[in-house]
Amino acid sequence: MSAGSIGTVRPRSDARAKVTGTAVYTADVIPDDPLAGVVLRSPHAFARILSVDTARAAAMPGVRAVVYSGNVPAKPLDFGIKDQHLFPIDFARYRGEPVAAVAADTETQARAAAKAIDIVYEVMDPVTNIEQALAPGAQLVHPAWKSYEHSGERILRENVCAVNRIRRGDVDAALANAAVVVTSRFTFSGGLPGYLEPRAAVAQAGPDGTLTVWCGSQAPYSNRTEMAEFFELAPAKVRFINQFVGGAFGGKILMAPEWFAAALALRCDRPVRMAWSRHEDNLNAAPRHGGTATFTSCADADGTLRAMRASFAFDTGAYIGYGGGSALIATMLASAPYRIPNLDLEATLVYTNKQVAGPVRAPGGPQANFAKELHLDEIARKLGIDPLEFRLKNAWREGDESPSGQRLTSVSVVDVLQKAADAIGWDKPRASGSGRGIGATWWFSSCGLSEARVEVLTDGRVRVISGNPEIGTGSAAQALPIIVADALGIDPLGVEVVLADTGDSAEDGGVHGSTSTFSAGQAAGAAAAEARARLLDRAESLLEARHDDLDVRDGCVYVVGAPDSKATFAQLAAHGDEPVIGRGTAPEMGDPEIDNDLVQAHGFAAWPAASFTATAAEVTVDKETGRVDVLHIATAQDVGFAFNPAGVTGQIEGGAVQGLGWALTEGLVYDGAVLRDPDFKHYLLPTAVDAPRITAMIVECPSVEGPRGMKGVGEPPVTTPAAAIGNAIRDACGAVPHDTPMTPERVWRALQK
Amino acid sequence: MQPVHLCVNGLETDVEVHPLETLLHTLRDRIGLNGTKEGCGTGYCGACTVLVDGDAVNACLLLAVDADRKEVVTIEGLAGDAGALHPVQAAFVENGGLQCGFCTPGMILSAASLLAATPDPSDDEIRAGISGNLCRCTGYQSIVASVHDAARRLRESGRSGERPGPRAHIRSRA
Amino acid sequence: MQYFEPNFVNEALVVLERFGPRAKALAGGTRLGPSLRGDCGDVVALVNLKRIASLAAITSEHGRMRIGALVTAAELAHSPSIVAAAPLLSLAAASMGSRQLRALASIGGNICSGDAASDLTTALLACDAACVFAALNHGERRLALSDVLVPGGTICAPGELLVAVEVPRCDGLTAFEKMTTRRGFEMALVAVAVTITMEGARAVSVRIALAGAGPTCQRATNAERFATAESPDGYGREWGERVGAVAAERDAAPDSDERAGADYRRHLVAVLTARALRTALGRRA
Repeated sequence: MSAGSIGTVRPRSDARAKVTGTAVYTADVIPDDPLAGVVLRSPHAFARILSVDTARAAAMPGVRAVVYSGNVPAKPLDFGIKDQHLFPIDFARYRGEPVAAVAADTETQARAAAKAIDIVYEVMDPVTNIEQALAPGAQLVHPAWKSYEHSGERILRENVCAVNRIRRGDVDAALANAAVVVTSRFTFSGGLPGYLEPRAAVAQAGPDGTLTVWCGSQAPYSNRTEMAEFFELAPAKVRFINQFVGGAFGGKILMAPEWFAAALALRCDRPVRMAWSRHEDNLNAAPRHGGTATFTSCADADGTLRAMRASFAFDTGAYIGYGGGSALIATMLASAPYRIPNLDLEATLVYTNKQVAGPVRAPGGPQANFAKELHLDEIARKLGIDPLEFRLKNAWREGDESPSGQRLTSVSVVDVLQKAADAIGWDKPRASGSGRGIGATWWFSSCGLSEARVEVLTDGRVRVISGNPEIGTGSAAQALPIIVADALGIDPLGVEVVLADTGDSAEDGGVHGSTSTFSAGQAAGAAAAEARARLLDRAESLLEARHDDLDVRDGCVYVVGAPDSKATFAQLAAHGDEPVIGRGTAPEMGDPEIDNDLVQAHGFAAWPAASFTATAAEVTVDKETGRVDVLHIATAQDVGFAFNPAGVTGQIEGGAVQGLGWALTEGLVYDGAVLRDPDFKHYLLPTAVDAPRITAMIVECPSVEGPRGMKGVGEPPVTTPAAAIGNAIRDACGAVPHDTPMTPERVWRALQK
Repeated sequence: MQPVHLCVNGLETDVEVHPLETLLHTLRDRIGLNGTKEGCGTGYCGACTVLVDGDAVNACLLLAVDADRKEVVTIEGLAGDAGALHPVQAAFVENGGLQCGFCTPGMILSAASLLAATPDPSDDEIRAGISGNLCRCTGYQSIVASVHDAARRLRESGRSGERPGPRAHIRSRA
Repeated sequence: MQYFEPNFVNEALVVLERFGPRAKALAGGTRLGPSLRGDCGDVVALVNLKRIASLAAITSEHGRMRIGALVTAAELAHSPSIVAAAPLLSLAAASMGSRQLRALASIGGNICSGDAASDLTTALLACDAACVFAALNHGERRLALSDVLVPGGTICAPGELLVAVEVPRCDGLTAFEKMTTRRGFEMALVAVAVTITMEGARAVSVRIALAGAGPTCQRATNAERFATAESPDGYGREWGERVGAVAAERDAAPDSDERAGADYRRHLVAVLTARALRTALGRRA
């Protein structure tokens, strides 16, 4: 078995554990003698908190600890705006907001005690939607907003907690002289991340000031740092031990049960376990942002786009949390990946008394692309130009400028559009009742802090220790072994992946922002290279040969030309005072230059190692009922260089169906500001019979910045399917809803107009 | 509390359960078999799927008392002697039919029971047969490929139509 | 809360009589289980019916099928005797829930839930089904299913138990149409079940049942009368559409809710009724 595993299709290293049921997820972690932790939640969407009295609860049978605003640190959590505390002090701002927590010997006792916590609320009228929040004289979700600390150029005013803008040229002049002008309006529902594993955590405080947390987090190192800082513990004494994660999709970056289990554990001498039901997880879940978009654009008669004005408003719920990304990304996507010289793009984030919205996979992506691509098809139709032709004509080329003035390199827009279109059979005759649609996007890559160690042990085993969690994508369990094995000339299945544990000191920024293989892969690659060099050092002495005369493969180091002169990894590891260890970090990746005059209050307008993705869809529409059947989704994604092709295909296929769900069946239902329980009976995730045939095409147009030209993988696949499906619906039946989800009823209503 | 005589993965065992206790709870919290997962607790995600007398059911709904004296097979009961993977398990590994793995135990059991009844299913039959098992990660295509491959593996090893689970019953431990 | 596992119907009836409305009978457990585990409320007695063998039996007598209340949707879908004698019921049973849910859900539990979107109840209405209730004071009483349904439940009194459903052998042409948001398992937005009895070239009886079009599943009696009164144009597409229009306009009484608007539901009644009639007639030999 020779080297060269990079770029090959491999089984996952965690597959066996997962198919046999031996993989451990956080709810499977049962410590000795645990206490049960239970959260008390606000029954009101908006209420002033007049008093909290825990005395009755604390005295109840089996109760070991009660925590609330009065006995945890009062410092605010910092998400760029310090608008939130661990437990609210002055107002409960959304129904379900955690206001206290109890640890007791049994869950029944803990629940009974939670009910006995006396909180006096003064109920207020909640702010239920964007329109209400922005109306003059509106009720403020944060009446004391003026006193909030916030960072840098963040805009915070009444119920608006972020506004960003990208502007270039003169949109109004262009609109005044245009051959065709089109205005389109859209609304988007929010949506759940929809991970199958409800959240859980176990926390245990030690007598020596230690705190250990078992959890399934996307960012255990960041969590550890935040937890340590909040409770004023030495970071080295706080340990987050990550388990396998049963899906996350952006919903397990911020701590939730980890906070409450830890807060309780710090007041107990037994571990506290909190394993949420789906119902409770839903009360806490941070949905994808819902909101609105209005686009006005113009073009010449020959189809050249001239100007675009786009305006987004996102309902971020009661606190800003990690909601800022949606607004930042929406303006970056609104006109992309097309050449439009005159732009005025704006996005606003609005407070309401809803559950806090969060950074669900590709925040702002499906929403912005849905609006933009349906809008562009309207223009193309008005001009009588084929939608694919229209896009190819206006697509970015190498060396073009992004909206914020970044010079674009490794541009593959035309390629991905053409491939997606070919795969769907764009030019083939359409069967009656069927239609095709297409959409494209760009996306960023991230390279975050990441450290790794590769160890060759004295029994010959090879391990990679990375802080990158395995949430399912395979960035840890599949990509890291491929990269390490490649450097060491062994089979990837011979590389053990140690799940993220902050006690192992291999810091990693976490899984989010399409960063994992990019960052952790580089760190692991560097660590493996160093381990290889250490093996060669020892082999030099053992085999009396020089580096240049040595070859590493199949778990041994060989003298070139003398196959009997070799040493096994085990022998080399034993030949020395310590095992063979290589360390590596991900290099810092700088941001490309932009023109700062073009952007306002936008901290995310430079996208390194930018990727390009296009999706084409084929659907049939039953015009009598409005039911849409998606027959085929074809996505071409430029990943620059595919270290782990199976992982890329998995992301494309999974993203296609997530995108389909958001487009057609997944809708959140609110009674005013209160989210109706999105249990899986009512919140409709796509099943196997809803999922179409998917053609996943990996395109490699290497980036300048990424390792071997890599571009980030995880998010783009979910950003384009809804756009393609929407355009396909319009193509099939002559109408398309401008509101998601595009349920049969909405399609039917669109047809009646 | 009610006494219940369970036969799980070929092993007979007596436990005391609360009348409203689900088989899922008994498997995980009393018997210590954690492979069966709770995804929703209401029968809508299929993550808790186990086989009871060969039928795929939601363990989060079936009461432990109603599993009395029935043959229960969980994911832990599929692998053969010396940990040899069942053909369905091997197929999922080789075909990448999983990512986060949380739906996987239920999905595999669902697929295994489907194949026992329909040894050579079409794409549509596979999708319909596993439509009670939600997966959020894979988009299902690799799962369908895995089930097709599993059908082939069962055929080639002469095990088509075989009821999934341990071949031998072990009478032991009260 | 006390728990009972009777082996005979009379044992169950004794407990139900004793505790009245504070007793709950447990069948498949797909609905009652999760709700009781959430909060027992004032339920003090739980009667698990599944040890009562007679409730799981399917028998046939004088051209009528007697289906025990515990018979599962899976059994209804696959039982050769049901497939032969009441194919509409098999079809509806096969379309409800997931494979796993069908293995647990019982016909009795489904009817007693009073769910206005129930596939099984709708099919049973179109099969002219009757419910058999037992109680200590009256033995068995038999009522037409259409007389038994009330919003959210049935007229089953405290102390009474639904023990069986009786369905006459079906000699007609049947069809079942169901509309949902996704293709995977989901409660119907609207569903329509039809049975057409032909005598020669004439439809002498048409039964049309609706789900999701009112406070309970219901027979579309106006549409049924219209269907048989209509001069046949060979019972073509136009006939079906006219019958569907009557069902939508005069029988359906849907509310708007978060799942669908009333006007859309009405429209679906028209469309699905027409389709069901067309499919049923397409089964003519």
